[in-house]
Amino acid sequence: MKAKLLGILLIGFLAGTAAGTFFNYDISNFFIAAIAFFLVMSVATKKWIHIFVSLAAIFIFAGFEMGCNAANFKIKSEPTSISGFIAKVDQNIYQKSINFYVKEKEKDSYLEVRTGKDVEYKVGDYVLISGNITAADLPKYKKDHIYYFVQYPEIRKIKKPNSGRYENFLVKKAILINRLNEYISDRISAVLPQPHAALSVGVLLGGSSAFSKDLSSKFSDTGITHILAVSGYNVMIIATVLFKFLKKKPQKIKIWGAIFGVWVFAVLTGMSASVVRASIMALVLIIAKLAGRDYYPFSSLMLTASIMVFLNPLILMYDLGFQLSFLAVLGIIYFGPLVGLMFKKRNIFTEIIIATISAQILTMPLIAYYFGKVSIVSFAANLLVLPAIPFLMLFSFITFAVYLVSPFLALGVGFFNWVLAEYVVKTILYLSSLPWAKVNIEFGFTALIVVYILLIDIKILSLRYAKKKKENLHDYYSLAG
Amino acid sequence: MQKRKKKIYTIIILLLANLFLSSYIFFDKNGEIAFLNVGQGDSELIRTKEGQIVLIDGGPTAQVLEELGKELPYWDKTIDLVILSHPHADHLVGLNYVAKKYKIKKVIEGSKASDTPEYKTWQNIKKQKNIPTVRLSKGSRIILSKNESMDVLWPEKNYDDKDLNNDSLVINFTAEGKKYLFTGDAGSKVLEKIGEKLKADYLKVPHHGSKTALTQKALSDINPKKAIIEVGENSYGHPAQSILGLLKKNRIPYFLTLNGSQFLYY
Repeated sequence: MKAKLLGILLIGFLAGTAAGTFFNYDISNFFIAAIAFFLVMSVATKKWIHIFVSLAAIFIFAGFEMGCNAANFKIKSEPTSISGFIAKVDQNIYQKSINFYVKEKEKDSYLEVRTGKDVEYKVGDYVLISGNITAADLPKYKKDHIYYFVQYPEIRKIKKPNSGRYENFLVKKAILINRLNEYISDRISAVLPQPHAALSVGVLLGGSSAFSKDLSSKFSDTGITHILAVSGYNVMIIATVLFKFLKKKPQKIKIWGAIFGVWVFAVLTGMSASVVRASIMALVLIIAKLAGRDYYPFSSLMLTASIMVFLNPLILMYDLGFQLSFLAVLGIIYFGPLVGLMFKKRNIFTEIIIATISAQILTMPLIAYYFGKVSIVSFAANLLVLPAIPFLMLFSFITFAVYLVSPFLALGVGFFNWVLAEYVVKTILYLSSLPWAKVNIEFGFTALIVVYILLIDIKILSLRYAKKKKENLHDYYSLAG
Repeated sequence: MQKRKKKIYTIIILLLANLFLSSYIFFDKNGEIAFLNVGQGDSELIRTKEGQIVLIDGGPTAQVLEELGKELPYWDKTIDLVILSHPHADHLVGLNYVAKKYKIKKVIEGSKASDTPEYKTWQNIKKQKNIPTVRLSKGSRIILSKNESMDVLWPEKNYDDKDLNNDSLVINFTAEGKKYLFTGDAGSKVLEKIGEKLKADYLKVPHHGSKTALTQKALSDINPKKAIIEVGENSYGHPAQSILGLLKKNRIPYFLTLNGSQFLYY
């Protein structure tokens, strides 16, 4: 009950934030009024429903205020030069230019630089950028703290300047993660040909930029790009594998081991929204299990979303990865039991099928809205490809580990890796070659809202059927997506 | 239960091992020439009957790696010969990625070097990996096997042209009596100078089918049965309508790599 009430309050907070970013209207007076109302109610009437309603108002207005402030934030100046260290490099070997991101010295803002490939730029290099720097006044950039853009500027590598402790820590962290990523992906790429190597590295560490334009578009046509952005699905795999691996160890080691492993993975893969979401939810799930409490996937999801939105309000409306990840989990929670009615038997395979289908029910309309296309083969592609991903992750890791011992042996182990990758690539190529693989559609914002309302209706109408035979998926599916 | 699991795993492993061996034994023993789809640029792969791998040019990006991944078997990480027709980015950049990933035994280039950043990278990689480079000009012959050889028809020694394209290596590859003409980006001006030695069964149309790629005289000298144009999405208007018209007039069927790699077998 408590968990459910918290869930409702948090929906209020999220709805408030969404409205705030959208309407962008200052209502701090309402916020103060709501607090006053709450205080009066809790002293005067002491009826819990009154208190709850006024509390809900506080959550809604607080969200509204935050969303509003975040959307109103404007970048005031356009400097002529910026110096700092390179925090991230997008190395797409299939393109003629590269993008990298410079963290402004002692500030939490980034400059996106696009330039040619004549000089090699590495994460951790200190550079002085001067040129026609423009403010990136769009929320989708501001949410990542990218405040400035520049194209083909003058770039000078400079010596490491004197900087604070935190700044030094940040640069060291960025270098460590980047070099570790490179170390692993170089070893895997030495064994496997392309695109198999890119796929193996992609499912293990994320990174969809390592494919040619041609192949990338085929991934997107079959609705399978998400396997390359490390997502909750990978976190779920890692958490379950760690749990199995530590099976016989005492409870404490098992739990802390899993939490540690999941978070190391999250940091290593660059803390994308979906991984952070899954990692927080894994934490909640594990703590609930540890405390012997019931786990409420919905409340856990809302709590996670609220924490993330509280830290960065703009992701709610402008981070596609965040949105898809949450919709996928919502789909699994709410449509999982409904889809489950189609299957008599329950085993690992039917559960995967149920999770895959139910996750896509809610994500598909949003993808249609963003990209103007619906992948018809998406269900089939995901059903065929997703079960291979845990094995592909496993073999990619083994190939890397064996390579450290003997490159020759790695060539042997890598063959299994290659077969799996070949299977995934061939499946995608085949499905995308079907003439009806995808349909381009015009899908506006109104249509999007209508579709979601219809889906909610279906869910409500189906409640009475589903209740008779209530069989939820295993808790850990709420991590996937 | 445990026993059953073990059985299943053994069967899977045996099946894979079987696949591995059979693909090795039954691997295509024909000669093959692949005109790779690498976007707007050139890259051709030759696999001789004895299994030697020759790569002519590497295209403008790393896309050639995905194509090599399709054409070469899993364990093959060696390229016997790389030929760089001329050091322009749309022929060279891909080779820099190839050199990092594959072991290249030998490189053949035309007479001229270049001072572009991509060519410097290329020189550095070759130095680092100790890849020997031979510069060839008109009159040389590359012998791959008893029935497979390449005649270098261009560039002439000490030939000087402002346009680097006209320094392209023009190579006539003879395999089992059939001739395949690789032209790089050489203009029709160059082809007309070479004359009757151009005669070939299959033609890679020069310079992505640009306006100055062919003339009626050059095409008559070559007299091919089939033409392949290496071209991708571009803003230069390649392939030019006039060239396609010329090919049509001479009743020569042509194929574009724009829609996927093109293959010839012998």
